[in-house]
Amino acid sequence: MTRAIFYKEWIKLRWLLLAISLVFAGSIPYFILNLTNKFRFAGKPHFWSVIVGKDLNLISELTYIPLLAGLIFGLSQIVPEMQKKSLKLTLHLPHPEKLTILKMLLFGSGTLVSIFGITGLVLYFTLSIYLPLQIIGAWFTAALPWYLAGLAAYFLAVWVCIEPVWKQKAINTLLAIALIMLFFKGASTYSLQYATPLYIGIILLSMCFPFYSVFRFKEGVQQ
Amino acid sequence: MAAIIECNNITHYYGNRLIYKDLNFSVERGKILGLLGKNGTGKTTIINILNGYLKPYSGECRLLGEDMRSLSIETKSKVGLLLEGHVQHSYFNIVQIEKFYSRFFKDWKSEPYWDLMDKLKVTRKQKISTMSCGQRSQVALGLILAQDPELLILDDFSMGLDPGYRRLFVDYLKEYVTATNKTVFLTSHIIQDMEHLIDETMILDYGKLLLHKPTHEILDNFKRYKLSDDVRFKLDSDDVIQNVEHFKTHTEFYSFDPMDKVKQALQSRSIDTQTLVYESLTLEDAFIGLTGKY
Repeated sequence: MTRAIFYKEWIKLRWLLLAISLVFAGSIPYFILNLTNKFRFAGKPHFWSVIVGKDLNLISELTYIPLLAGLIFGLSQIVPEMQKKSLKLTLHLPHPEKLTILKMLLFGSGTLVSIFGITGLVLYFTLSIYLPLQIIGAWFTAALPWYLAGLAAYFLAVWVCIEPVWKQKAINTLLAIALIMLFFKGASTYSLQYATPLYIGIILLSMCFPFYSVFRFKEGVQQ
Repeated sequence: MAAIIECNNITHYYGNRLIYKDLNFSVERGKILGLLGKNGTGKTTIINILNGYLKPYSGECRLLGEDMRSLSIETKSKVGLLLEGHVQHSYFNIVQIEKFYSRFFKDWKSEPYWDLMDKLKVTRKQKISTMSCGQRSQVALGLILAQDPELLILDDFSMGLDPGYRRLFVDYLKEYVTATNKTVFLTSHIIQDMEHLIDETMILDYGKLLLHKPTHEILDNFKRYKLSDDVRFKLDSDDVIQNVEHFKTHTEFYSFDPMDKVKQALQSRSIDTQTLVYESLTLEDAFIGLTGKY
């Protein structure tokens, strides 16, 4: 059953998955070229002093990319299910409903985490050829909330999308935006590393929200 | 005989609008029941209630003996569901969707599915989203037949189908159900072709169940009566006479009662019955006769 559910999600999302993977994979040579160019034109000593003195984060262009990826992935997974309410067919399968939804969410979140994780690690180790680990560590500490925001955006997009009542959908959207904004509140490299437990909490909470939307969908809530 | 579907005292509202009050019905094993009604009378609402996708205001339904709100996995595997508009997962092609569903049903039978697919002029790699409504209907039907369920619930199966596909759907379904003693609960607002398919007819009107009878009983007994209107008179509906319509040259009405009783009813109102004639009806005519044109 798990393989069948994953198969369905794979068929539905494989091209989007490829596109997102290409964007993240493509960001690695982009950042490396950017770094080597800066070394070449500004000189290593000067550029290092800028990184340390002005708290420059060279991968900051990545800020909203995981968020967009999570959002698009969540919508692309659920919008086809909500078109003409074909989610009913999914829930009618002889398989526990909550487990079906959980497996769909695991496919989506697992895929995103894999893309984020693999491309993040490759970027980390590639950058470590050129820069000390302390600097790269600081950059990735700052980048961690962006990736977590992407994961939260995925769950929240699913939650909003499944909600059957438009008024509640709007309220959920506002709440989702407020939660997502928390991930982008810190500006400096180090200020957010202590907030990570809060972000993990938000993600775990937002992972539960879609189950409530499914419950409302099943109840046929109309207003 | 055991009831495959049993609904007791279903009452439902959308906002303040009453859809039904204390609706009761049951469907016995091996029967094909057609739920007919005009748009907005609550046909899809019943389907949603039956499948647990809508909590009624009050009342309960049981499918294969289980409460609709908590159907077990075993019961779900015995219920084939066709959604209005022949909705299916449109990102699949016909090979992928068969592969997907087959993993959920231990008694999966591929033959009826591929038998139907061979009748379609589609390639195996064509996505369902690019198919016509008629082609999608065959995919949806094929998947239900391959599932080999005990109960088939078909919501507005005729929607969007041209006469050819509608006939193909009905013929295939009839042949399958007759051969396998399946139970079918279907809704439709297109009634052509239905009189050869359904054993029992339920007709919904706004807010109530108008009628639940064996289809042959309706076709045998429900007649349209015509009375030449040389002398002007006013005729109202009652228990015997239904849906009276006055035209320029004649008056039409419907009745389940035989000619003698209708004549008596008219004569008791001092209406001359010399020109009274009746005609047998198709199920569609009977539906109009019972629900009216408006």
